[in-house]
Amino acid sequence: MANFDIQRAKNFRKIHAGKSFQSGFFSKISGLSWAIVLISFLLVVYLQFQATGILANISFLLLGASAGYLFIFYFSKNYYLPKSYINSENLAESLSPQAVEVIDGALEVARDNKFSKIEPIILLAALEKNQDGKYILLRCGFGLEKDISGMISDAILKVPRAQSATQIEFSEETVSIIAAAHDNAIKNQRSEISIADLLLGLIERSDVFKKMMFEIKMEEADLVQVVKWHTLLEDYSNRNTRPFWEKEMTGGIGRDWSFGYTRILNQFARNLNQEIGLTGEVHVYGRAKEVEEIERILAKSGENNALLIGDQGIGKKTIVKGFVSNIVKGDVLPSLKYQQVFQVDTGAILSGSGDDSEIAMRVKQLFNEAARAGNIILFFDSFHALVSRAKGVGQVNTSEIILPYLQGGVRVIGATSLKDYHRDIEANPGVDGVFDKINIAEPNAEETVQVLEEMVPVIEHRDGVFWPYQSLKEVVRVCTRFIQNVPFPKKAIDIVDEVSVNVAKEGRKIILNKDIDVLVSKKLEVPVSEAEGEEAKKLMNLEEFLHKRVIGQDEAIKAIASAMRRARVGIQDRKRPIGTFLFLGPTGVGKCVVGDTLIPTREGLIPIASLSTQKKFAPVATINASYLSQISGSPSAWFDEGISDTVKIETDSGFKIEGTPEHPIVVFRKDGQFEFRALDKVNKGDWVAIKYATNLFGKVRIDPDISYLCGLIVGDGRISWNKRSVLLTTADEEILSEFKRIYGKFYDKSLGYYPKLDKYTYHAINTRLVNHLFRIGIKTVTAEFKEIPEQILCSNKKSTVAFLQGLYDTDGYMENNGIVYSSASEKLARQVQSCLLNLGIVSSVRSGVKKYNSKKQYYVRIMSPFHNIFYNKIGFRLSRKNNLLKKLLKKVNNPNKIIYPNLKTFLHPIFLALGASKNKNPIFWHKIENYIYGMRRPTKIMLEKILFEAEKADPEIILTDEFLQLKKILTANFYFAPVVKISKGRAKVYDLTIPGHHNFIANGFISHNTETSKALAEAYFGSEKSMIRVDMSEYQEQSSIYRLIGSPPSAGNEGEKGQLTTAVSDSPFSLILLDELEKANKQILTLFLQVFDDGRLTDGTGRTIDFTNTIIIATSNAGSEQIRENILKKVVPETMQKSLLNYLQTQGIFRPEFLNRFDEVVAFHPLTQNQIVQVATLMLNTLSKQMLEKDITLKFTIEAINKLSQIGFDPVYGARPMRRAIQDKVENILAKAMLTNQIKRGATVILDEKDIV
Amino acid sequence: MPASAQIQKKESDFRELPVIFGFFIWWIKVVPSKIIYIAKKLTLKAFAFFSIDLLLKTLILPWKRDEVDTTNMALDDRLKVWMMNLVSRLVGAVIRGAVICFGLLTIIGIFLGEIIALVGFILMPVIIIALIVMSIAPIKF
Repeated sequence: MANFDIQRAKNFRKIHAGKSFQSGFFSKISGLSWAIVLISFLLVVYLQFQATGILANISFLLLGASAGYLFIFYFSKNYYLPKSYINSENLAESLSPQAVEVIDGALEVARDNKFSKIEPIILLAALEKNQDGKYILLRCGFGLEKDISGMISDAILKVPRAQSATQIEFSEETVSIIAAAHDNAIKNQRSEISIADLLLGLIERSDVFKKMMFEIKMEEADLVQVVKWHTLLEDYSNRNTRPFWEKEMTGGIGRDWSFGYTRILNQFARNLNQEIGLTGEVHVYGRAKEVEEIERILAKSGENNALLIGDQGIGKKTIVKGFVSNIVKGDVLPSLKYQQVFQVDTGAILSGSGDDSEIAMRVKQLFNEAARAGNIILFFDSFHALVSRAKGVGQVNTSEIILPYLQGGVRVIGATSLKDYHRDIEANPGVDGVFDKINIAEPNAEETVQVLEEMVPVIEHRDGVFWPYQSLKEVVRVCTRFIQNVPFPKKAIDIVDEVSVNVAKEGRKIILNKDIDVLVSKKLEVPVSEAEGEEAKKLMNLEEFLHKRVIGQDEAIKAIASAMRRARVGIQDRKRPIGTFLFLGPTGVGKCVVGDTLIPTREGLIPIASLSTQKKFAPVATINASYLSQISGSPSAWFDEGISDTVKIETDSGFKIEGTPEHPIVVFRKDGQFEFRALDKVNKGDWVAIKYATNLFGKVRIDPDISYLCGLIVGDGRISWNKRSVLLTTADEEILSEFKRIYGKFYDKSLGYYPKLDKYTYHAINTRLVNHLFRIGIKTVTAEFKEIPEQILCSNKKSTVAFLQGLYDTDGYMENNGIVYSSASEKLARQVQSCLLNLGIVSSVRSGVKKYNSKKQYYVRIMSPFHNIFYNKIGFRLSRKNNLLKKLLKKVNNPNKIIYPNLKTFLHPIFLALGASKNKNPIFWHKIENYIYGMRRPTKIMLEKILFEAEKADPEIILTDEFLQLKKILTANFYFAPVVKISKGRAKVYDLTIPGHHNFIANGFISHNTETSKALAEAYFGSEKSMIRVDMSEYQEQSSIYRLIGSPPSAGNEGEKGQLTTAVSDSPFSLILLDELEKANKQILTLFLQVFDDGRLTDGTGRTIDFTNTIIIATSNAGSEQIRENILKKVVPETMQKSLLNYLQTQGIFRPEFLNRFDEVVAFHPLTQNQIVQVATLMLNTLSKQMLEKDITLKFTIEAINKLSQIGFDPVYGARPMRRAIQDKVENILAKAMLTNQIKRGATVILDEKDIV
Repeated sequence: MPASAQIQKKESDFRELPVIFGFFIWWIKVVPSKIIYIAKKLTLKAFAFFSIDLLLKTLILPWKRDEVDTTNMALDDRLKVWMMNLVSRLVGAVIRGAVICFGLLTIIGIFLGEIIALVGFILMPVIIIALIVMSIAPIKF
């Protein structure tokens, strides 16, 4: 055991004696003595050294006595100075004065508490009371969250006390700690054991202290670093308090006289020597080699210029400042001793008038002056700007001017980034050749911590905060993990700066880890801190959360949830994306509608099935989701998806859409938000948004009279191709005369037609007419199959209107204060409805039966608020009908047909704002109250009035979100209608892709894509906005790769930005959905190999984009037939998966190496019976919640659920029929029971198996 | 024992001796060494402050290296410029020379101060005793 004997240690004896000399009584007297010496000396001088007289005697005595006192005092002070030195014989003699004080303190604690032995914890308690010890412990993080004294006191209680007064000893453990401290001091070449050494000894040998450090997440290496940090700060402090003869000289007065003027340099550059002379030395960690390299390069003869190459923020300027510090200290080679470094403001020197010659002159003068001065080193932070060949403002190539100076005469230090070096400097061999390059690498985490240690005291002083060591480590950890696009140390410095300011603003002093995590989370919109509490719970139950939006597919959900958990706790492979998944499933996951769905495009209203006939897709009507405004988007692809199960929904106003069950449309939720919902998830009573006034017409020009004629013929006529004749049946003389007029005008001037085949039928035999009508698209069909001709749908506005006039003149009429068009053809009726919708006229379509022939008839009834628009835009040509219309307009104009549901949330703040004006207009205010409480729905006019009054009452309300949203809804030309009918079908469906917008208008409905992955984006990243969707069907050509990753810059161009790379670069924590993967070009798919392997992708501009914080989900319809076949053959899922993968590879759909790189390849296989029961339960629970809103409790027995599962299950299509089964077997029954009052409010309904019929 | 500790040990040697012996070592060796050390540092500092070496090297260079180039000049212009340059050199030499002299004087002053401090310190006990004695029994000078 090492020898530790404080009794025999001389420094211990001297400590007590020396205390009074250092800072005690004698020290205070010495000050007085100096004063006496001075006064008495002056007196002696005054008395001319004559020792006569009392005054003289006293002066001499005082002078002598004081001088004597001071002489003895200073000797005693030095003699009793308890300086120690390393002595392995008695460790106590190696202790520094502060360490001796700590030992004394420990002895005092032991005495006071009657401890017989000084255990390590007592030593720690004494260290905590020492200033340096406490400082180091605070820096370690002790006492930040728990009181350190409390922690130590708790531990001290466990130390056994002495029964009787005995001599206090040091325990073996304590002595070994001091021995370890002694060894540490030797290792660090210290001359005595310091406080820091004692702490290091403690962590090495004391279990109690190790445990405490573990609790605050500090290791031994961290304590060593903190000690070094403390030593460094002490050194700085000591350097500042040195006597002036020890301080370095910052150049002499002769320097400026021996070298030339620097007039221009003073104007365009900063003298770094002067700055550092004032602010103090700059320490550069981990860059000593680079600083030496600069010195070596500049000191050599000949071309002595250094070029620092490294990214922005890596510390190039700091390295130069470190070199300048050495010059200031005189710690450089003799040839650099009197040099001055000027940092040139490149921007200032290159800016000014547009005249390049002026700039060139300025540069020349600058270099000339530097050369003449003789002791100037020029430093250019962006050297490439001087030699850039790019054309632009401030871009001047001065390489020819500066090259002679660079070759000898002026020393230059340049700094540039790698990209700029390759682009501007390397391309200029003359300039490149005169520089010695120094590559500056990014500092690693340890070096960055040291840089932060250097700068933190300044920030602490500025903001009045305190940075514990763990917080610095946390900054570096978070920056390493989450900030990829900025190098160290810049990103760490920025975070430290910002966190300090934020904490200071909150009035706190200590920076905790969570302050850093909160700031970075806020900046990057991603969870940064460790998952705990609610988030940890959510992560553990992630499958449950995801299943709320994704039914079944346990395997897929499990794979994704596992990947998320691994990533969140930080144990996944850091060099790959968080997870990569390929989901294979049957068709129908995209937006698919039936073929005759009309799409408003700039070529007119085109059925989606016919879109492919266009050589180039015309822009279609889409909606800007933010502003709810209509814009145009050009489709990039069109697909025939074949025959599929469909869902058809119809609103109360007869708007219909039929599409695949996954086809989403806009639904207006109860909380007033718009949501895209799949057709099979739309329920009766849901309000859908119909877009009117799209005002998109084609370019086909048909004379309005001919269009009108077509309208007449479609309405009341028919074509006979064989007879080359057109027949028109009408009793109206006006229509007949109009027909004759138009016929005579365009086809047969001699008016060759044969009237009156029967009483009301006229026909015209004219091949040209028939051919013309045929070309326009009028078909020879019976009344039930009539439709608007294709060319009319693609014609301009005038032609379309004229055609509608023709239709209305024949089969339109006024009835029950409404304008009606009737047709036996449902398709024609719906097309007329679509045309009217396009023009901004909302109508309803109802079916009925004609009394006189019992045939089905379809009635298109224009809603009363749109009568005026009909009159102004279309009207009747027939004067008789037109007059009737005018009378109707005078009589009826009920605007209350346009109503807005589900606006309670938005109206509430407006309601509050209008509260003040309640008494002025109580009726109006009560109406609003009714809207708030859901008793009524506001009409369009009412809503306009509410907004107007609200703005008057409180002008600032126009800035609120609610007001803005209402305004948007009001001006968006949306008509809201409830869904009244949902049915199933099977039809040929078509797909459409509009890049950038992903929604389009179809039959007035706004349609969009799947929402499956949105659930995942919301689960992990907290928001659906974090999902980046890439429709791979847009990348079928190899040339489209540049749209994905960007194109390289070419002459004069910056290059195109890539859709994927830009999105990931802007939002590195995202979920990437690669939809319809099999449709992408194979060469483009190979790009993803490196993404899956390394988590990185180089974009077109050469930037490396980091994908390691993304989740990648690819979907594909490939192999869906294979899946169906396997299901019918009842193949087990594992075998099906293998055969599916085999199929994909053998068919060449995906390469094996591509498939292998996915973490999971999951086939969306059908649900099992158990899962169907779960699906049924989920759907029934949703129904129960809906019933609860009506205050009816709905319950189901297990037998009822099982029976419904059986009814709603299809081996091929899984749970798709479930919705229909619940609708038919449960909802319909409930609806009837509620209508007949069998079920009333407050009732409890239990559905059993026998109720499911 | 590390080098720094060896130095430390050497310095603290007088503290390990008994008081009387320690006093004499301190009086004769330690403090005078310190005075010489400080004087040396001050001398170097003064030398650097007045940039004496640099001023000597550049004694007859033009002031602020301000020299007019005579390339392509006529002979009489060249003569004028040559005279101006000469004046510039003379001005420089005078100012620099004055600073060098002032610097040297400062260094001499430091040296004299060092001597006074040394002698004064070594004779300090005698001076103190003399002062006390003079206060009791005045001595006429």
